[in-house]
Amino acid sequence: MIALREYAQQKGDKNNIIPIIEPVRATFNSMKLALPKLIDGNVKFALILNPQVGDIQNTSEITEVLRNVLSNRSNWIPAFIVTKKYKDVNRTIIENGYQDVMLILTDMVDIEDPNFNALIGLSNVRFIVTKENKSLKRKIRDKDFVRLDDNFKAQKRNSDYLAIDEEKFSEEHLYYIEDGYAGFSDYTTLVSDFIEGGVSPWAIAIHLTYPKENKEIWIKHFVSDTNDDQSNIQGKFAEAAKKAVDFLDSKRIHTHATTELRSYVNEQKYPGLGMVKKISIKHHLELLNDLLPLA
Amino acid sequence: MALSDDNKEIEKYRSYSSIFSSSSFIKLLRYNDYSFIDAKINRYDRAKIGNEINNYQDYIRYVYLQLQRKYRNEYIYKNTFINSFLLNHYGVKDTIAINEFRVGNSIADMVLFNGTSKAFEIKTELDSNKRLSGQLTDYSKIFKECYLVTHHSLTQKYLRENSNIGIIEWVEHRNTVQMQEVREASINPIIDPETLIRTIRTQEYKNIVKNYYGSLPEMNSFNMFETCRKMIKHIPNDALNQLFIDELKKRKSNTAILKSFHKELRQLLLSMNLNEKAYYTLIEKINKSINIT
Repeated sequence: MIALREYAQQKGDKNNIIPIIEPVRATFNSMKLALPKLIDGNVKFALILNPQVGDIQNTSEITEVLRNVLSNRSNWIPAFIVTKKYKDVNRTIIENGYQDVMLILTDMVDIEDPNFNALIGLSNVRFIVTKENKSLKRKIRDKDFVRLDDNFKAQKRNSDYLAIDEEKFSEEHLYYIEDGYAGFSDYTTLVSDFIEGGVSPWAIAIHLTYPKENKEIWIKHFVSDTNDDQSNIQGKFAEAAKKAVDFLDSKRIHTHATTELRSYVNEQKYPGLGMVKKISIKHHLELLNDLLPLA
Repeated sequence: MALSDDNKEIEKYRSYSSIFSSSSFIKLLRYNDYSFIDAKINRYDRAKIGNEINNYQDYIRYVYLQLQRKYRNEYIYKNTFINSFLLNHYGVKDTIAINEFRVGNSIADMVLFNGTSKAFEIKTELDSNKRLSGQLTDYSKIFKECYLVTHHSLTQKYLRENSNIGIIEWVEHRNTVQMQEVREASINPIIDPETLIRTIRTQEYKNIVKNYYGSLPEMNSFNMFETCRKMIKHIPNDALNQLFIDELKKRKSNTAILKSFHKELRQLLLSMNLNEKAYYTLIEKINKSINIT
């Protein structure tokens, strides 16, 4: 959420990104801070109103707690993750009168199910976010399809990224229009699964996306070297961050996120693991926003 | 192929064992989620509800006693160790007990800091002793005394295998279980500063340097570890040991109030580091009547 907040403030005039946000914390603190910043920065966002992970037990709390922030419905897109509970989602949309709704389809969806077809046929539904699904795209012609790819290939341990060095991340920005999509989406540089908490790591990995000369987006992994125990996390960060900055300098890559990373290295300061993740996500957002031509 | 009765019994006890899990109790505390207990009741003990067992606390006590008699796993050992040794033999005045403490590539089952430092490794009758010598080597790098906690029937074997470690054994007298010290641990003359700084937290090694030298040197977060590592190596070993113990005793712990907790749950509550207020909330929840439909 910090990455989104800062992206909204720093992105400049052009924005090609609609973040899809799944609330997971019952306290909503980060939502209360970030959503107004997105609105100020004219970053329209999709908010998942039926989160499937995290500790929100009663999903109606989301719209209650955030009532003020969400009062202007033109600022945001109501989004629902579609599992098998087609009727529940359908009812919620109708009861609240949501318009231009986004449906995010999971693998549980059966496109032959009449209840699914009733849901997707609602005039209130506008965006369909799904993995490549040719049969559905042929069947439904009057919706905006957004292609979803889980690009980030997670390794078991951070030190495993040492052997990979870099890999192809995505090329959808080059082909989505040709392929009949209104947009494309990914899970940024995070794994698609939500993972709670964490322990002190044995290795630090900084993941940065960058465009190759052929315009494909690749992801490069910068990993610490002294990975034989859990001590000296600051030193591990120094090792990984120096590698990252050397690479950024050689490719002349500059975003707000990389400026921040460079300054930590210059000041020899360890910002904490959360900030490392934030830099990686914010950098990816800035990069994609730059690469896309539309304003 | 049908399972033999013995296997079915063991399956049941394994299944019982999973009740004493901190993640399950956190779910109970946060979301009123009793499903981890209800599942066992439904599978094994429906008939007992309303007779000898009425609420969840009764059921937890019943399961604990079954395990203590028939399937002495690590939880039962640790909890018995807390009840009969930590609370009665050592006492918890000015003492911090920490569950699962990492040293090098090993994790000590329990460690204690009071006037000295002690590490405990538990080997139940169900455990293998494959990694034991490596574990003990790791613990002895920073702990003054290392103990093995095991069953009476294995004591002789372990006494012969290692002459430095102390041995605490599980003994049964009719219906009561106890632990008793068979041999005292010999005291490690020195601790290893290299292992020490890699075991403790950043703030803790900074405090050790600051307390010994009077102040921290000029450093930044990238070279802090190296700087402190060199300085810690120059602290006389006895002083370093004392600073280490003092520092670890500052960790937040519920050791002092363990005695006020239900005796079946003490190990669980230590590992969750639950405070008094949360404990009373938990007790309210487990006092609830079981209502199985």
